[in-house]
Amino acid sequence: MHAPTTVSPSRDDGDRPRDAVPWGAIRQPENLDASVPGAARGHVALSADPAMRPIISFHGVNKTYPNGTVALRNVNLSINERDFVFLVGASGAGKSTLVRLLIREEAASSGRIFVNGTELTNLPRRRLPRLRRGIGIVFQDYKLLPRQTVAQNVAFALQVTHPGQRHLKAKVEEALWIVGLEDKVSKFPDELSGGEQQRVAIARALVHKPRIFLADEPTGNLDPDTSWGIVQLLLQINHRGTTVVMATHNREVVDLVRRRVIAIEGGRVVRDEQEGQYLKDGEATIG
Amino acid sequence: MIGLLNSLRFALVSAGQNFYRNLAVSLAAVFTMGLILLMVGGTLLGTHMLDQVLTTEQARASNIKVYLEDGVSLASIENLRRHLAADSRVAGVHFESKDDAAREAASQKELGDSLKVLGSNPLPASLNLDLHRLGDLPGIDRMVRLNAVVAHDTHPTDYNPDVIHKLQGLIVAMQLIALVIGVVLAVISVVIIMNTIRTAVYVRRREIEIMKLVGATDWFVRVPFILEGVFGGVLAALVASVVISASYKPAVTNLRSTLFIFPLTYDGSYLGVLVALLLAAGVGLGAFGSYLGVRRFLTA
Repeated sequence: MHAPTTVSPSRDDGDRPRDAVPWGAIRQPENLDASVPGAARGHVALSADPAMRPIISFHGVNKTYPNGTVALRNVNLSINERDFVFLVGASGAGKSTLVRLLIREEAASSGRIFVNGTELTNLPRRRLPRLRRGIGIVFQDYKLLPRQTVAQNVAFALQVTHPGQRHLKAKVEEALWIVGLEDKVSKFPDELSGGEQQRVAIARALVHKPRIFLADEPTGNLDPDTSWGIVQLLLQINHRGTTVVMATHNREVVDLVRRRVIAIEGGRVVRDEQEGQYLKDGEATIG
Repeated sequence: MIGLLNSLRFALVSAGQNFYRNLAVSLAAVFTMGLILLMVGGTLLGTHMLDQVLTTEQARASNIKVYLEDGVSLASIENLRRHLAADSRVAGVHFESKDDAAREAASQKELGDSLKVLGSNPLPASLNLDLHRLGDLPGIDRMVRLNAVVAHDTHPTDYNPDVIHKLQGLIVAMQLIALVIGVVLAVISVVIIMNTIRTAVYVRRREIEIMKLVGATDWFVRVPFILEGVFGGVLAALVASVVISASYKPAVTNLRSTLFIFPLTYDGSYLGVLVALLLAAGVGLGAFGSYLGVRRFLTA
């Protein structure tokens, strides 16, 4: 991976210099220089807020799927508001299950989970929408609607949660501006690069201003430069006050950013470090 | 209230867009529903025609013609008429003279032609009785046969217990068959429509997945699909109604000449009821099929 001295442009980005995207003002806070990863791990938001409290917590959580596969074993963890956390581990370690439990796509077999002040144990279906409106989520495969434009994809998230709301267009434009796609509003997903599609997904997840942002392998399909651009974006989202949890395999990104790392192996949390790395010191592999 | 209206507007717009965007699958669902509604409509129409036959037969059967000997005095006929009119089982008595009978016969083409050939009027005068109950027919028949003015030598009355019992048995059997066909069709149609709509919903499973992820309520996801099902159902019902309306009259005409023992009649007023029933069935099937079709993807 290149030393991330700039936010690298997407490869098919035309003549628009993505590295020259004006990340300033909203996108580039004064005290977070995205061009210097070392500075990006400054925990600016955390230290600025002494009243930190857990926004996500797991207490003795186990998850066994109906086919008998044990995905999580006695998981205990706590994530504070405005944290930026990497969930790392080999395929099948339980990262994605953990993400699915957070949005209650799956229910824990035992234990208690609290998200954004809501206990998910026995949460009735009718209360799921409220839970999910407080969470933005992106996936490796973007999950965009192929027959809708970039703007329509982003607007869709608002239309289905707050139909007919005012200033829809302005909110969509703002979300697209944050991810640097304000000039792609009329494009369809298949006219965009992978990185740009992921940015659209991020804009869609951001547009209703969630308190928690979940990213499940967001860079899994992207080249290193583009991946770094996506991670920069997530760091900025975090800097704006949103808690970010990113499940990833991307060792370079984790080691460069040096934020909190929770390592999962065989369904257990085996390591939880502030300013951690992908692998434990002296560890050859995970899993 | 405004939120509800906005949701409804969104649901209507997306239902329309989805119907148009997935036109091939939507039309397949409409075609399937149309065929089923056509069969349902045909069964309903068949049942109605049988009902008409039954009503006509019952009305006809609770009448009895008492044929009178030629040449009997008007006084003795009047005597019998009064005796019958006083009977509590009899609703009404009407005297039909030989001339009346001839005029009636002349109005029916074949009988009229026969009368012309004969040159004289062989038809007897009669007392036509309307009874309150079908079950009183045998008793009245027995009673009038004892009277001297009745045409004992030829044909005392037109009462024929065998034909009526057989006809009634046949009609009950046919109604039972129609009911069984109706129930089987309804079950098959719900299963077929549910699967057709499930295919239409499957095409858009990603949309549902995203709606769920961003926090749409179950009903918000469901309503556009249900509305789309209702659109399809109404369209299918209209197609079935047009086909049935256009073929009802020719079918009655053809069946009348084939099944001449049944007094089939064309009842234009029933078409309105039938169209309303088909529309209700289309709306119900479309909505219920969509509800079931989308349920799997909501709970997945």
